[in-house]
Amino acid sequence: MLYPSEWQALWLTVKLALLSSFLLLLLTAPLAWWLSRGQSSGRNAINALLTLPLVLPPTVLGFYLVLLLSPDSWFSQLLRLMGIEALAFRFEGLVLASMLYSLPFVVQPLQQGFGQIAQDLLQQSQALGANRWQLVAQLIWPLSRPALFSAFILSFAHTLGEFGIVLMIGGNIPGQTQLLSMLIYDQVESLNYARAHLLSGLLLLFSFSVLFWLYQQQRGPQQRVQQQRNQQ
Amino acid sequence: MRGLKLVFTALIFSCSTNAAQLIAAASDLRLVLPVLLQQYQAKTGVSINAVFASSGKLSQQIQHGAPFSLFLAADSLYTNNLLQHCSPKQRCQTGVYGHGQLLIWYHHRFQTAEQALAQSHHIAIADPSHAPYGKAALAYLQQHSLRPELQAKIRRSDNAALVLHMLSTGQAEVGLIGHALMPAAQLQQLLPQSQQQQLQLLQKLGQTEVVPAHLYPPILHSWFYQADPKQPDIKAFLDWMQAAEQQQFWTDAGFKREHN
Repeated sequence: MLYPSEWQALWLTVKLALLSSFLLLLLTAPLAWWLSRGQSSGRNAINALLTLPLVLPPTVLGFYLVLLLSPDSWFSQLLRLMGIEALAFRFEGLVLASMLYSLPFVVQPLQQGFGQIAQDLLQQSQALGANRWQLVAQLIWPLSRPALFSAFILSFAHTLGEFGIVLMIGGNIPGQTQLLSMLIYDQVESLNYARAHLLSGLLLLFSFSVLFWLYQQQRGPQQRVQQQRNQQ
Repeated sequence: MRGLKLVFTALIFSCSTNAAQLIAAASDLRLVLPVLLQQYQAKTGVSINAVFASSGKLSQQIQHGAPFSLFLAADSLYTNNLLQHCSPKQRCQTGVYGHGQLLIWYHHRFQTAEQALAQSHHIAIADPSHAPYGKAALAYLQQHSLRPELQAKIRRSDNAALVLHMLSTGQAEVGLIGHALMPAAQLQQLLPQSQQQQLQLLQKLGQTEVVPAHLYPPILHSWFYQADPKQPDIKAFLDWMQAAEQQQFWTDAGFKREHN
């Protein structure tokens, strides 16, 4: 039913969504924790910076990323010193672009989730002898699982539908940076409406199924969190 | 949760696909170039992929490091610009492979192109800021006696190929397109069935005329080549596509040797 190029585009799309979402969770969780633990001008400035990708058009971010990632930029020269090729028009460049573009979709739910963990709960646990790792593993992680799920779901869904920024950074190269959204656009341009319909329907069905499954997975942790709160 | 971890691990270590040999091409070649690439593959066994966009966009991408060894542009302005920015070790070259022709398509309810321009509501052209056929279309419309009225009717698409899409979906009753997007009948028969059907539908809905060459500036289709050791077969394809045996293909695709 699908041609090899279409399977490739689907695979690249899923790979990009999963990779960028996981990496974002790992890298932004400490930042989201710090942001949730108080109020200050510094925190507000960082929050504003992190929210920028939400309000800016993708072309603005794409434009600056193209300049940053192109082979002659200072950033690419630095990467070259470390033995890494320039990221423009490569899958790795798409991962970086997607992470930046989905940043607010991860940081904000995490920040809100961490903010609901009461400070006195942490202090009581420490007073009872819990070390930092025990706090994270036995208190913070279970209580923030719903927020982590929400952040992952939002980032994953957002990345599945990306088009403008990945087109600017990736160049729509078959087998390397051509995502399903770009392939659909290609089919429309080529007057292959039947294939465009098929791929659009596939993306719609796939996105719905994955999101539905993820929300189903989230129900268990949410119920456990609610039970723990009731016991407190 | 365990399943997610397994999937993630598989993703991290999944092998990347082999980089295929790539060329970049102006959007007006979107229908006909895949036919030529298939013929080349049938003859030599070498598979080459093409990426299509407006010439201006592709030129910018190449300047920023896009991995295209060959660029088939619809305007020598872009290829000459790339040549100027080329370093000696890239061993860049440019050349011309034909003059493009502009076609005007108009809906059957109009008797003539003049009537269509005067009475239609929307005229579709490619965006002149980065599409050479859009520039040529705008130049043609600006010379027209109805210039002020026509200006308000213009609808710009991102590139030449999308003008066809606008016409086939009824978003415009008149369109100015490259001839390669409505090639000769013998070349249309080599296109995929879905494309043939759409072109036949457009031919039923309206008619096309070649715009006289003196009414728009030359559309000089030129190529830009830079040596890339990872794409060793591109130069051979470039030489093959310009050989005398392929001249009929380019004629059927609407290209001429001179702008007249």
